[in-house]
Amino acid sequence: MRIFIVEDEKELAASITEFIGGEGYLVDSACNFAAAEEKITLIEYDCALIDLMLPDGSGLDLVKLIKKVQPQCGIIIITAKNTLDDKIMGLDLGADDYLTKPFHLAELNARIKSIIRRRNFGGAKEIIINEITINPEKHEVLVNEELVELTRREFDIFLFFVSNKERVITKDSIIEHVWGEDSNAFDNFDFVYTHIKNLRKKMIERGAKDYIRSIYGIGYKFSTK
Amino acid sequence: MKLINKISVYFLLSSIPIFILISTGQYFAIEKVITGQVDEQLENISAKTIQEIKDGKFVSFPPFVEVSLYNSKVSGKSFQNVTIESKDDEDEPFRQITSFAQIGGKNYRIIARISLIEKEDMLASLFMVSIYAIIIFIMVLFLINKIVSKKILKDFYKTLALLEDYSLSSKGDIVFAKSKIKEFNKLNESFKYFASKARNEFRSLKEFNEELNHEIQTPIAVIKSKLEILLQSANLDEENLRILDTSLKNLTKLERINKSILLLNKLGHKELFESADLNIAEEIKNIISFYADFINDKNITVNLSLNDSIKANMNSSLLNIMLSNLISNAIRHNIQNGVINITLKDNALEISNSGNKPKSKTENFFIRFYKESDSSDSIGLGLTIVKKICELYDIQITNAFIDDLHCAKLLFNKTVKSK
Repeated sequence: MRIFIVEDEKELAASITEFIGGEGYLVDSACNFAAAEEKITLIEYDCALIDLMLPDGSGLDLVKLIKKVQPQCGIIIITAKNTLDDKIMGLDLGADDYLTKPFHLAELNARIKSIIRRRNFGGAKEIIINEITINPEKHEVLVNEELVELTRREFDIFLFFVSNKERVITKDSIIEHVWGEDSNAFDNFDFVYTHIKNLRKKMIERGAKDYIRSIYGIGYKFSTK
Repeated sequence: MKLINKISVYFLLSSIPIFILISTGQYFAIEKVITGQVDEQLENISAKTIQEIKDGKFVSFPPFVEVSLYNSKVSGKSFQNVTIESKDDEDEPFRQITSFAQIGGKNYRIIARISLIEKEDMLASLFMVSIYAIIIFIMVLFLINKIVSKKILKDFYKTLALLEDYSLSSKGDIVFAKSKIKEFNKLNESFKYFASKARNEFRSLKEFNEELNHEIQTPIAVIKSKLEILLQSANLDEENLRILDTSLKNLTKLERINKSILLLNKLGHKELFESADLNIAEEIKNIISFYADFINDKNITVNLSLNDSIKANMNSSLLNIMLSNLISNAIRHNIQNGVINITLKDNALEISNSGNKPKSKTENFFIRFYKESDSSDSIGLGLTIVKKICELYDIQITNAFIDDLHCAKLLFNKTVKSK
C-alpha cells in the first residue's frame, strides 16, 4: 500500500509518516504543489492526504489531478480552514473524506484504513486478526467464526482500536471518533469505560484473547503482541 | 434637554433681568419727569395764589389750594407727598408745596396740592405695557430661536443621525451632506476622518484576529501530532504518561478556544450563513438522541413538550450549534439523577435543568470566558456563542435560576412560522 502526504508543514508530515507507516504501508510526502504534481504523475498511490493550502497552489487542483490521472486513489483533504465551502468543493471534486486541523493521528489512521478498505475492490473487505474477523460493511465481529453481539458504539470503538493496532490511543480521540468532535466539551466520560468494559467482556466470553490494554487511565492499546 | 431649548432658556433667563432693569430705569425716569412737572406747576399755583392774596383776594380750594394764617414768621417752601382722605373715604395721593409768605403784615401759609392719582395710573399702565412687552418679547424670541435654531442646526442633526446609524462594520465611508455653516463642515470632516480611521483599525484588528486564528491551527496540529507520537514510545513510565495526558488535554482546550473564537468572528458576518425554515422540535430531538449516552451517564430524566409545527428561519448549522450548546450545558451542569425540561410553545423555547445554585448573577453566564463551574474542561464561550447567534436572528434570551432549576428562555421574534 502506498500513501501520499501533501503537507507544507514538514513536521506534521513527519508525524503522520511515523504514525501510519509500517504494517505494509509505504509513505511518500511532498511539501509543495510542484513536488506533489510530479509525484502524482509518476507514482501510483492507494490513498492521498492533501492539504488544501499550499505555498504555491491549491490542494483542490491536486484533487482534480489525482481524479484524472489515478482515479483509484482514495483522497482525504486536510485543512486548517474550517469552512464549509472548501469541504463541499473538495467532496464535489471527488475527495473521499475531510479532516480539519488539528486532528488526532489515530483518527486520520482510521480514516485512511477505512478508505483503503472501501476502495479495495478486488481484495478482502474483512479484517482478520488471529481468531477475530471484522466485517466493517456489515458491522459484524466474529470470534472463531461465531458472531459477537456488539452495540453500535461498541463496534465503532472496536473498529477504531483495530485500525490503530499496536498504538496508544487516548480517551479523547476515542470519544471524538465515536461521539463527535464537540463531545470533548463534556468532562465526564465514565460511560466510555462502561462501553469498553462491556466490549472486552463480550469478546472474552466468545473466546477471544483480551487484546485491549488500558494505559494508566490516559488511553488504550489494542495489541496482539 | 435639547440644544435649541437650552439656548432659548438661556436667552430668556438673561433677557428677564435686562427687562427688569430697563423697566425700573424707565419708571424712575418717568417719575422724575412727572414730579418735576408737578413741582413746577405747584410753584406756579403757589406764586399765583400769593399774587391773588396780594391783590386782596382770598383763594382757597381745599384740598387743592389751602391758605391759612400762620403765627410765626417763616419763609421758604418745601415739597411733600401726602395722602388725603377723599370724600368717598379713599386715600388719595397728593404732591403738595408748602410755602410761606408775608403779605400786608400777615403771615400766610399756602399749601398747593396736585393729585398724583394720574401719575400712578400712568406708571401702572406703563408697568402693564412692560409686562405685555416682556411676554410678547419672550414668545417672539422663543419662536425665532426655535425656527432659526432649527434651520441652523438642521445640518447638525443630520450629522448626528448619520453618526447614530454608523457602525464600524459598515462597508463604505460615512457620507455627510455639505452644510452652509463652516463649523459644521469642519465637524463633519473631523467625524469622517475619525470614522474612517476607526473603521480601518477595526478592520485590521479583525483581520489580524482571523489570521491569528488560522495561523494557530497549524502549530497546534504539529504539537498534537508530536505528543501523540511521543505517546507511542515504549519507554514511558506512568509519570511521563500523566504529563503527556495533561499536555494533550490542555492542547485540546486551546484548540476548542481557538475554534470557538473563529466561530464568534464568523458570526459577525450574517451574509455567510444561508437560512432555511427549520423545524425546531426535530432538531431538539436529534440533539437529545445524539447526547443520549451523556444523559444516561448521569441518569437524567428528559421531559419534552414540543410543538412540532414551529419553524425558525435560520442557518441549519447555527441552529444546531445554538441548541447543542444549550442542551449540552443543561447536561454538563446537571446533577446525578437530575432532570431536563424542554418546552417549545408558540414563539418561546424554554430549557431548564436541575443543578447547583449559581454562585453569581445568571446574566454573567453570557460574559466571555466566564466560568461558573470549577470544571477545568469548560472554556466559557458556549453561551457567548449562543448569545451572538440569538442577536443575529433577533432572538431574546434570558437566563434565570427559578425553583432550583436553571432556566434558559428564548423568545423567537420574527423567525417563527406555524404551519
